[in-house]
Amino acid sequence: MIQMSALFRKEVVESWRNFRLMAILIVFIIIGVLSPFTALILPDILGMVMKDSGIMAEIPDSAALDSYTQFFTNMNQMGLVIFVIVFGSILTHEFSRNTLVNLVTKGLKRTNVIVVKSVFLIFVWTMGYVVSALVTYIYTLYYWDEAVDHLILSFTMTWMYGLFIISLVMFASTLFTNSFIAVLLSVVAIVIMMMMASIHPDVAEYLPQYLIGNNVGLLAGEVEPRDVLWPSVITGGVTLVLFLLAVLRFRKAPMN
Amino acid sequence: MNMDIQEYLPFLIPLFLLQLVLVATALVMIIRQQDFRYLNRMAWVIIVIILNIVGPILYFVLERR
Amino acid sequence: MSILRIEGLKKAFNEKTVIENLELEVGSHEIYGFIGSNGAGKTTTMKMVLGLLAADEGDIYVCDEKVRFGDTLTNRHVGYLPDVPEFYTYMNAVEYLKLCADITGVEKSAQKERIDELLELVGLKGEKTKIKNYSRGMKQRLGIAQALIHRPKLLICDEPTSALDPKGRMEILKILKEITKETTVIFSTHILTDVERICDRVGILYDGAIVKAFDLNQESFGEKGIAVELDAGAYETLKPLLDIRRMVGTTYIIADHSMKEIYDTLHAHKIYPSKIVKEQKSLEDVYLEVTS
Repeated sequence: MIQMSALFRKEVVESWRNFRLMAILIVFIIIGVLSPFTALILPDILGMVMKDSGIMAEIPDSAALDSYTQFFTNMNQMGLVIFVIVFGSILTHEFSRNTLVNLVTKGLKRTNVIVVKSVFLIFVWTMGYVVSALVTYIYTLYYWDEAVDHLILSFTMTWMYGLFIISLVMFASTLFTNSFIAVLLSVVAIVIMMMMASIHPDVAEYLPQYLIGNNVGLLAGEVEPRDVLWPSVITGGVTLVLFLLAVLRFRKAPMN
Repeated sequence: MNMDIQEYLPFLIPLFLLQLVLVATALVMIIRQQDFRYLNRMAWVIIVIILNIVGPILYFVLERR
Repeated sequence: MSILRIEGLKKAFNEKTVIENLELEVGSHEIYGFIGSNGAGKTTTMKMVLGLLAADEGDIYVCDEKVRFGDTLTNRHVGYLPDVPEFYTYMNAVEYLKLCADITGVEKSAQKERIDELLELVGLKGEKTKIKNYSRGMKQRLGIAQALIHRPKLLICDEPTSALDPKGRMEILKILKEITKETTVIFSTHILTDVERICDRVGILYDGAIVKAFDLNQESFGEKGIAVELDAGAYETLKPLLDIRRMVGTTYIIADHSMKEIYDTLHAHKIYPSKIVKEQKSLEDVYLEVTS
């Protein structure tokens, strides 16, 4: 327990002093502000563009749903990508710089390394995501004040998908140990494979990818909560298995 | 249009401040840094100023490890 | 009780055997010098002792406990100084040692005292700068401090002096000598003068095994031969008569002959040496002998 808290403190100090913690928080808050803003100005911009090109059409005013649509587009793509790029090297950079050797040769349990780094990533992701979602929620409430269906569940799905990506990063890191590029590529490869598999509607309903594809559908009432039960359970299960595999694999990883 | 800007200030002010913190921090770090892993000081200053958000993030990821 | 015991150790990387049947035993409060050329397997052996690499065959015991790869239990007895120690460079020395103390389970109440004591020992007391601004020598000294934080029974140093200037080397050797009061030290090197200066025992690693071991406090390495300094022309005359091993300028090293034989031969040919002396082998001579 002392080992774990010491290691966790080390991660916090590290990400604070190299400004990564702050940077990711700022990016997530920017996403939180930018999403309702884009939803608000989009009709105006569209209107101007159309007027310039002489098309006459009625553009409907934006709604709360548009604000959340922007949020999920930004978070599922930009937010997650930046998160993985900024924090995905949490294990590999210790290998490429050999900084773990001093600690492991002192009796630091390898399991603790994986557990603490995973918990830290989950902590940062959760903190950043909740702040970002809250910012969008408050703006949306203020500017539109309309009810949407299943808002919390919809937010939770992207959060869960984030946990899945974190577990993927940790497991890939134990496989490739010192190459962050290999970790990035394998995460990208898995996501692309899931997207391709999603072409079959029967398969799509069971993949983690389904979670970030249906946030808006859920809000609009096109998708029912029971439709996301299976992908949620599967994503949760796969995430746990990947964390477990990372721990097992890391126990036997040679360190040079 | 002036009315619009007024209306958008609750968004523009926080967005501007957040970006300012990101860019300013990156610039201070770049000026203090002695050895660069990739590129040089001038190139990073330009990247951080021109590419907002992405520029500072690239700098933190590539140069600050 | 032996602090470190290695039995029948084998290790190969991709079919290429690096360690072949290595046997080693080191007792307490010794300084054991582990010498061998680059690539002889010194670092590989140390990493197996630390459980960082898996051994193919054989057993390693630290304080009579078996070392298991990936399981870091025996490491609580061991301190390790890698050849190029790497730290979290955004910390200062005290912060780093505090982290190490927490990892090794040093009591919170005893941490400050222990850290002060170690910084004093390695001459980094009061050093406030971040580790990223440290010189090689300072990093090496901090490396010793971090390795000793939990008062290990065994300190393993991988080429601790190789990358340092002469002054830095002297400082490290002095520290290593000093800490044998508390711990056993094993260090690998290819700088033989360092070994002669501080080691109690030496093992020469060659072809994956310890081919020769000495107790430097007791044994001499034996006689090398008799060194005779002569005029340049004398060589041709003596060559057919005496077994001349080596010549350094006008000094000839003659082996396998008694002093009397040499005197008699020189006298018979009316050759008068300016110097004649029995030479002892140095560690370097032995090293070259067994590794060629």
